[in-house]
Amino acid sequence: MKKYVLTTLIVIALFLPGLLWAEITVSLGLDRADATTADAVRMVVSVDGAQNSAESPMIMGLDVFHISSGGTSKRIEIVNGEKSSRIEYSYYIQPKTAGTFTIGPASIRIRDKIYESNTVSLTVGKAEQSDGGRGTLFLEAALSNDTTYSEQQIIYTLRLYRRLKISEVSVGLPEDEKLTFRQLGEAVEYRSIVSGQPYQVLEVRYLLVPAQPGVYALEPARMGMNVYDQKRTSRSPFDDQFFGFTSGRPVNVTSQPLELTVLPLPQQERPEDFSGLVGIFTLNSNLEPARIKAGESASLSVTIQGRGNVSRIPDLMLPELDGIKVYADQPQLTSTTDQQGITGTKIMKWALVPQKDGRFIIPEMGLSYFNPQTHQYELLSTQPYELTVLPGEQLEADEGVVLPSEEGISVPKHEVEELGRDILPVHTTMQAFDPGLNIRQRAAMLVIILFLPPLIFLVVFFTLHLKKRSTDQMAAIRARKATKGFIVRLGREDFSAEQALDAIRDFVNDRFSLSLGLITPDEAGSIVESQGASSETAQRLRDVVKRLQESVYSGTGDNPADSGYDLIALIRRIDREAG
Amino acid sequence: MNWHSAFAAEKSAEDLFFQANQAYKGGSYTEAVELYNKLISSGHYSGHFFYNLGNAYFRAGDLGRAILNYKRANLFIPRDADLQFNLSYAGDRTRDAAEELEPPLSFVFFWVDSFNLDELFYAFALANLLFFSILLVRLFIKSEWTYYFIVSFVTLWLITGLSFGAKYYQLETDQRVVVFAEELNVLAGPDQDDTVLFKLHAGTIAERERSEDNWSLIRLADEKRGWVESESIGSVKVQSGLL
Repeated sequence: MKKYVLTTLIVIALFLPGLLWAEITVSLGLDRADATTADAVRMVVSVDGAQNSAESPMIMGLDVFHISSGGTSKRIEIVNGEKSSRIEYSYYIQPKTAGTFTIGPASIRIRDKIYESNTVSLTVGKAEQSDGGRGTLFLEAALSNDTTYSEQQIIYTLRLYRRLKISEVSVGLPEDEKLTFRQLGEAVEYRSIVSGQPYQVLEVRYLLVPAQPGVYALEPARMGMNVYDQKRTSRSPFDDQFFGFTSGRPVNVTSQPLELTVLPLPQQERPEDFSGLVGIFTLNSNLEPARIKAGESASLSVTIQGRGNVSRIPDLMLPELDGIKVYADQPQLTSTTDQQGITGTKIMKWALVPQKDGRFIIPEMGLSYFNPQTHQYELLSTQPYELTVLPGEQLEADEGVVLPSEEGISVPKHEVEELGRDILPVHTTMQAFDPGLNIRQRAAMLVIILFLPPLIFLVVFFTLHLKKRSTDQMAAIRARKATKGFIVRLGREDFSAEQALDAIRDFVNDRFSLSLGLITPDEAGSIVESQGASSETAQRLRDVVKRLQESVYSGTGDNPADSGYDLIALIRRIDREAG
Repeated sequence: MNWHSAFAAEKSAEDLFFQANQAYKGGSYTEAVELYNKLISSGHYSGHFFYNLGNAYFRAGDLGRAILNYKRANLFIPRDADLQFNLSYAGDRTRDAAEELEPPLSFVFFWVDSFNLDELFYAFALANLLFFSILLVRLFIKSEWTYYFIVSFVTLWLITGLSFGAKYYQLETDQRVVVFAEELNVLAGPDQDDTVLFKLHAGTIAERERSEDNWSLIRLADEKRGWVESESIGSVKVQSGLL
């Protein structure tokens, strides 16, 4: 029996915690009831009796607080047989303003049932400065100008002064739909002394360019961060934040509010071509070269640079120039950002190609901008340039005039320095496109050019050779027939002296390839003798010709000839001796 | 080919030339290479085309083929200043200090490198014309001056004739090749597994002694010899156009 009762008690004791475990309660608590606007108060929502929850608690009354999560923890305990569990949701809340606030209830849904906590009260006062300083952490905001013009650049500077270790800094800037903040560069850190106290300063700059005039109330800027309290003097290495075993306390600090007055740009004396450019600018221009030859080009460049709303720098328009073709390059705008704002440079170039020689005036070009320092509109303009265009090669003759060197002073010469190497370009002219002759045409040309001249020469050569040979042959035939022809002509007995002379002449011509008209006795003798006949034969021929000529000259040439010799025998003899 | 189709073919070649130049100027070097090759392969041999093709290959990063085409252009326009400059520049970019082999008879006929075959042909043709003309004159006028002219022109005829013959012989026996590959192993035999004797790089000029299958035996000026795959080299020789 005793054993039975003991067992029952043990079972009840084991089940009892389970019965107690079924009850869930939610409670809300703060680590303090009073705080200042510079403090971060730890708030915890505890859920007892629940081992887990799919949702986070919803907490009422936190509208005037900055909230950051402190993490979630779960705990299950069995003490003296009693089992308990708890979930804790931690938060850090920082009041935005002073006052007394009711926080809560916190509500949470667990197993389709909503559980609510209690409410708590927190009294918040304004943060006070500690004696002899401004505290260990404070934020200051400053404007480069309290009063500015619309479109003028002003600098909004935030400086966080600290004597604590901090991390994970975030910035909240004043929100205004008419203002845009643009961070200038990276944040900088430096040391500073304020009220005799050393501080580490974190400074961030922003560019403000108000577009519209008016009075702007800049709300306080805020910086949130984790602060590591220096009062913790534990020397345990596990307290070092590096190891993560100590967590910083999230803190938000705010700056003072500021007021910015933006004035409208003055309408009085406002130039018509004013583009809205506000700032401080300069203009430089250049025409290079100022003297060119016809067909060459000159380059006009204008550079505008300065600090201000550089995107408003207008593109200058070069008016049409009579006799000059103008080719405008794409304007180039480069801007840089520094701690003082935005600076920019705009370069505009034009290529001037004169169509004729002469002197041309390039008119000035200008632009207007508003200088906030002088509070006036100012004009920038180029100078008028004169472009001289010389015809043809005249520039070379005039170069001596424009050379800057004086007479007697030689300009030092320098070796031409090769700055780079590259291949020369392709050939594109139609002279390069010379397809030339095809193979058949080349072969025909080969035949014509190489073989035609020798062919012509050979034809002429052989023609002449043949002709000469023919002539020689004819002469030889005539020579062979000369004697026979003489005999035929003088074969009859009644030939006259004149006929005999003609026959002798013809015989000499034919026999010796001559073309004599009249023949004297001496000529006849000399000819036959030179052809190989004997002197005696030659003399006989002389005598015959003489006697016949005497007959002819005495008027008896027609009478039968009396040569005193047998002419036929004489001719035969001549023929034989001449060979 | 009738007149109309000949004209159309000529126009097409002009279009190809223009398109290739435009592609080159526009930076489309691969396209320019293709078009110049098409122009040349259609039978239009011109030193300027080979020069432009060399430029296109150079810009496309193919040094070997660039030098090959510059060398081919040199056969047609040997005195072109642009070509000599680009050839020199491209040659400076080759990695191997290998001298180019001298063509045959170049020591004796040293001037033939400065003229293309056509120019030597026309020079010989002119000398031929003058020589036979004076011979013709001599048939009719047998005076002393004709004799001296004959002597002068026959000398000219011999010089130009021999120059033309030497150039023709050089072109016909031109076995120069240019290495295409960035790095080329020259092997002891026509097999990939043979011993690597030495390496050559793109743009180096050698001489091909003979070919077997897909392999060629090449020789350098310093008498180094070895086998390479035929596709890794290109022959400088082009059809002369005279035959």
